[in-house]
Amino acid sequence: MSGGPTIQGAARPMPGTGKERGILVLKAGVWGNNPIAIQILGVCSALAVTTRLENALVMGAAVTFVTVMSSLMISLLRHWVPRRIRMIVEVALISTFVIIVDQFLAAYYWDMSQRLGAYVGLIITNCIVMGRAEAFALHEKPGLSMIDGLANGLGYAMILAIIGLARELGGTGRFVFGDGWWTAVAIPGYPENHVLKLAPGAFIALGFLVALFYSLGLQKEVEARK
Amino acid sequence: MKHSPLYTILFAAALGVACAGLLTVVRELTANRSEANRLAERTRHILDVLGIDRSGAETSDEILALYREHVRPDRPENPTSYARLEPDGKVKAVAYPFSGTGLWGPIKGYVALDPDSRTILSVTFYEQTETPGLGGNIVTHEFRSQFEGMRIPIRNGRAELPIHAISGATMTSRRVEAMLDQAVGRILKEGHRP
Repeated sequence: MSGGPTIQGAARPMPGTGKERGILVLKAGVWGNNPIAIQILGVCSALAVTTRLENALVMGAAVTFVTVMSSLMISLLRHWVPRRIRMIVEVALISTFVIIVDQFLAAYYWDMSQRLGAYVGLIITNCIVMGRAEAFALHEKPGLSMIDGLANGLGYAMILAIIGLARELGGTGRFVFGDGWWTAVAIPGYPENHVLKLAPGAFIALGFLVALFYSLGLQKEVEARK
Repeated sequence: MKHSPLYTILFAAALGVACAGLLTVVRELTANRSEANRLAERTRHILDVLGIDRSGAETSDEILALYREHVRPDRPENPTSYARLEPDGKVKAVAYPFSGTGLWGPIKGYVALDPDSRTILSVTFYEQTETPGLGGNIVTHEFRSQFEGMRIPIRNGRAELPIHAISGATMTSRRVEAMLDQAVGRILKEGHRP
């Protein structure tokens, strides 16, 4: 669950104008403080739904919607939320938005809602969403909190897309979109790679990404600014 | 800032009402579409499990027309099973619903038997929330094709289907096996078709 106060957030006031702060927050979420590759949060769903690029993109969009909306609401309510029940309030708001996404998918994107299965509902327990609420939205203004939610959602979606791309292409040698309306056969006669299609492939791909992000020293850039 | 217990309770109540109200509105707006999706999905599965070619039917209306043309409720007193009729009116296959608990949530599907209830013709799952890529693979052709033409073995008066599990999805596989054994056993107990 949530890492609570240990998550690198913006507990102290940030320098610069509003626009500069927005860009800083956006860059941190997507890049220097990426929720999966740097903070190692939300790994469960990142491993589970990344068998295909299309699944990864829809899941990324769903989480982005939830982080944006929950960060906005929690920031708007931050002066009125009683401290003792603030986590319950956060979870109630987050679940509301997750159920909205779930019902939207069941109504307008039935196949995807079948394919993502339990993982849409499990966004409620995704540490990224509550992590941003605790570390950021409770202390910052609504606009900046929305940007922070957007940045972390996009950072999550980007990692999912890369893993989904690697697993679909490496596992099956092709891409399939929209139940087969667009199929790009990249490698004819490609033998199925079950290591990449199953869970180990996701672990390996994520391991490489984490190593890449840390070896680039991105996390130091953010830490140095604090 | 310190808030009084009364304020805390009132805040929680107001938030609960607001969230519930929002969800009710969203549910009302999407209910028609998601129910229609659910019905079309089930109809598609009944056609598939009975081996009716639906390659020409794209829209929900075409699928329902195909269904009305080929499928009848098997017995008037038991309208949950569906018979595929030949043009001469003979029954070619009967689809029975089954359901049970999966790893994450309910699993529901249809099993089609020949009219003598000796052989499984096909199995399909229309509702499941198993782990995508692992237990979720019960919906794939690779898993379902093992049922086509499977003779039903009876041991000690119970059906024990020889099902190949999915590696990495032991829990889902076991539960699917148990619910199919139970469903087929129940169909056999209720007797052959008249």
